[in-house]
Amino acid sequence: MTSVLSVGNLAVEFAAPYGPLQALRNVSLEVGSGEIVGIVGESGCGKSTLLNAILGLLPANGRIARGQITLSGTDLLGLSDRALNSVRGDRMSVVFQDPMTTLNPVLSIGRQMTDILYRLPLSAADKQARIAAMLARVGIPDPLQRIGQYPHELSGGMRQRVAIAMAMLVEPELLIADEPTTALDATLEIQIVRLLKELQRNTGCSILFISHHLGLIAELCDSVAVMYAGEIVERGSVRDIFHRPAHPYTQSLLECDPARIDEPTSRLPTIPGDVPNLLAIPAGCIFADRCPYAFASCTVKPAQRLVANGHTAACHLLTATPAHDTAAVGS
Amino acid sequence: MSVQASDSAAVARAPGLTAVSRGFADPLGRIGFALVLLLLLAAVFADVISAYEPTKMLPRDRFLGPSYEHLLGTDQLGRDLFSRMIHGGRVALMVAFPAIGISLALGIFFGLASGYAPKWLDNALLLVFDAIRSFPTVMLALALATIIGPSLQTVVLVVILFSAPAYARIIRTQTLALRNAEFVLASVATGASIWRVLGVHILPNIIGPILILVSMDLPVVITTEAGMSFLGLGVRPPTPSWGSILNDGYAFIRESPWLAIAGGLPIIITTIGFTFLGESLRDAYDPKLRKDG
Amino acid sequence: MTPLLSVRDLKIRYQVRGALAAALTGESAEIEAVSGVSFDVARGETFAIVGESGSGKTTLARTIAGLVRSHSGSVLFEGQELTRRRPAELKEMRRQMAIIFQDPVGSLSPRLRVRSILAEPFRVHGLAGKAMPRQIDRLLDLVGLPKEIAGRYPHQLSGGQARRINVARAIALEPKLLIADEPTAGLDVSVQGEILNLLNELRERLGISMLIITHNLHVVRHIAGRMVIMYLGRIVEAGPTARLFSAPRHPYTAALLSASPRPDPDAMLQRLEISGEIPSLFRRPTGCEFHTRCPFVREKCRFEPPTLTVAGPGEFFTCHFPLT
Repeated sequence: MTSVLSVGNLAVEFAAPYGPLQALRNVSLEVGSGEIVGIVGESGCGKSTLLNAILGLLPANGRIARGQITLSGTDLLGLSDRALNSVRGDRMSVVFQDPMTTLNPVLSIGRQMTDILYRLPLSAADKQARIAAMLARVGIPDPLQRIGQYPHELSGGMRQRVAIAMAMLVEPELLIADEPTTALDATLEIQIVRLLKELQRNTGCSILFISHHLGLIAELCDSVAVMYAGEIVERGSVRDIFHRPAHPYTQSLLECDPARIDEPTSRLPTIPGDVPNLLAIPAGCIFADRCPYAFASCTVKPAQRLVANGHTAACHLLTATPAHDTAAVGS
Repeated sequence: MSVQASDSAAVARAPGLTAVSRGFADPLGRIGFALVLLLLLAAVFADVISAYEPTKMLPRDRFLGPSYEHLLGTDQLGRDLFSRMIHGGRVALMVAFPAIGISLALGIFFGLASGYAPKWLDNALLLVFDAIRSFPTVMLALALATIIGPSLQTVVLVVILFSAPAYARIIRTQTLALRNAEFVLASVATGASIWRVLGVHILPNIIGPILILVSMDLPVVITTEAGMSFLGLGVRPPTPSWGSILNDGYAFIRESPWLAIAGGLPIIITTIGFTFLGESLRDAYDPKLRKDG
Repeated sequence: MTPLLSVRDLKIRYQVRGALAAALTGESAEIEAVSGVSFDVARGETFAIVGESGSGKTTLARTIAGLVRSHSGSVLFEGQELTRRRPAELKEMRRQMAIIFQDPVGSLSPRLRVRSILAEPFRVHGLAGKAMPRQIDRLLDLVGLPKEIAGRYPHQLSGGQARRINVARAIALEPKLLIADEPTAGLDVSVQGEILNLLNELRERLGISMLIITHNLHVVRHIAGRMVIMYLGRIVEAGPTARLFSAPRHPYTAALLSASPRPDPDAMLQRLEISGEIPSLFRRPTGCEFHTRCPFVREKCRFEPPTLTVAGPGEFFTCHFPLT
């Protein structure tokens, strides 16, 4: 399978007053053509940093220390700002968490969507037709009427659909969705997730779906990468991760999800302790201090070990031979 | 990405102090602070610094240029300009501090009241604020000076009348913004009295930007005093005030430029000093720049 | 036994435009955020109010806590009527009823250290004394936080820590009822359990009754014995949690239950999908207010509002054609 997005051994650092903050360390990820890859992680795991690195939107004090990022063969890190600009919003597009801040409050929906199509040499009427078609596809009733409306006239769910429409309008190879449903009600969340699935099926684009909602990831994604404190601790197909989790963090995370627990209990499981301080990364396994199975070897950083075909986890408990770091995610 | 909460604990300082210390990291802020300090010291130690009494006339030594005895020369009545300038600083501060202090107190009281009160009271107070502010300054100053006579107190009163409603409005807006903040509601839910809510929770969280605004208002007040004294509506001769010195300088510009300099220069320096200081504090206070957690 | 909290036909309205504008535009000046809600909370129980945005649940919680005025109806706490009282009269009641808000860090005064924040309830009720530091230590211990945290500022706390401080402040005066608005919102899955365990523990140790407001059904299952489901300001179904989960009667309840996907790729549930979004409070649907989204809608639902059907003590629903 050809890969659309390939992240190899990425390391991102931030210059902080107390010293360099290693937000991402040795992150490798692949998104195949037509694949939906999910990134699961809790706060502080580095998913936003990863996203910003891919998009070239790291803040001024951030820099890519090592690694590569390629989009269908194009090396994104080597591009000039101008070249990167032509890739963003054309070959890859993003849907963010908060539709309120994604849309410009003073421009109409139609105007914003027309602006996105600035690269296309189409007439205004053609563009409008395309926009209306896209709005209909994302489930917005009366699209021609909506084109003239402003963001505040739409509800939260509608705005997020418009954001998705905008992202899909350019027919990207890769759609990145950063917690697109977190700000929405549960009944809306599944609508949006279904929409994404349908759009992916129809256009064949790849999706990188970032969320902390395990249920949505299980529903939508083909393969999953689990992030913890700036590292990818496990990768595999969605069934590998949810049915046969190999890394203790993944296991604990799944155990903690109240949705997974069938019997009502007054003592829910938790993961004790805190995420490690990113200014002082421990030498060994990043999860060792909170891991219920930590043992002597854990003072050494574990490499990605092969659990099964396409399923790797960075844990000493897996005695299999070390995997090739560029192992493709997915079956 | 975020620095962990635990290491910020090592730098557990009051948010306000952090702002002040960061203000001093900025070179312009340091210059501003130095100038303001200079002003304050000069005003306090005026008698020590000046060689002459500001009102002492030496009729034979009129319009002298700068020399060792008279650092800035003398004015039309032979009074030492340097001493007059230094004492003028005292007058400026004697106007500025009470005027701003009282304005601020009134502004805080009415601003909080207006922002937290039920709508009808808010509307009533707004009406009062806006009515006062719609008066042109000069007219009001003239009117007051005519009624109660020109003096330092008149200047203070004019400043209060104009500044208090302005501060009140700003504080009102900030109060309105915080009124439904969850930490305020939490305090109300505990049973806290309205005074506690306003004094412990709302006021400390809005006062920072207000104080910075105030520090930048000080030069405006001093200039107001100078303007009023220039027009003869402020302090009466022979009390030296920068404005009255400037007034003389204007009248006697052909005899000696030093009067104008003695009046104008301190105004410029003071304005620069307070502006730099205020802006630097404001930038330091801005939470968006607070990247270290 | 009299219930601890008794809400009867409570209505809460917001004014959204001035009277003059309303008269000129012909639209109403007020919207009704809560339209006649009734339920009881018994001593020692944990009761949940479940709803999505626009359901009125937060408004309801704040009104019970005395922060918002109601339009009509009553709130009885330990038999005492709370509505129509002036704020000053409510002070004693506030010792008995505490509320925790949604934003854990935002509910803490930014310029105060944790110890001042925790001391406030004592100070407000004149109970501060030499024993304050010990009482604060005790509170921190009760919620499982180290003593050193007393010197920190809110922005130096993690979400979970701030949430615990909120709980500590709420239980400071040993209230009889604790109202928690979205106690797990914004918390990672791995720490959600900590807060829920803490709340359960406090209920067991201190006998505090709890009113949990949430949209997260999975949380409700583990913490609340009885619950109500709210939609557009009304209760559509109420009853024991176990019953609502296993055999919901109202289509909205069933839809909510199936809207939270399980973390299992093979668990393709018979999903009850509802289309559209919550209608605006300005344009409430006629008949049964859920009819615009209900997959089982029939003619009757469009025009006739359903009456309340009681199915048991504390168990009722409003639907013409219940699922069971």
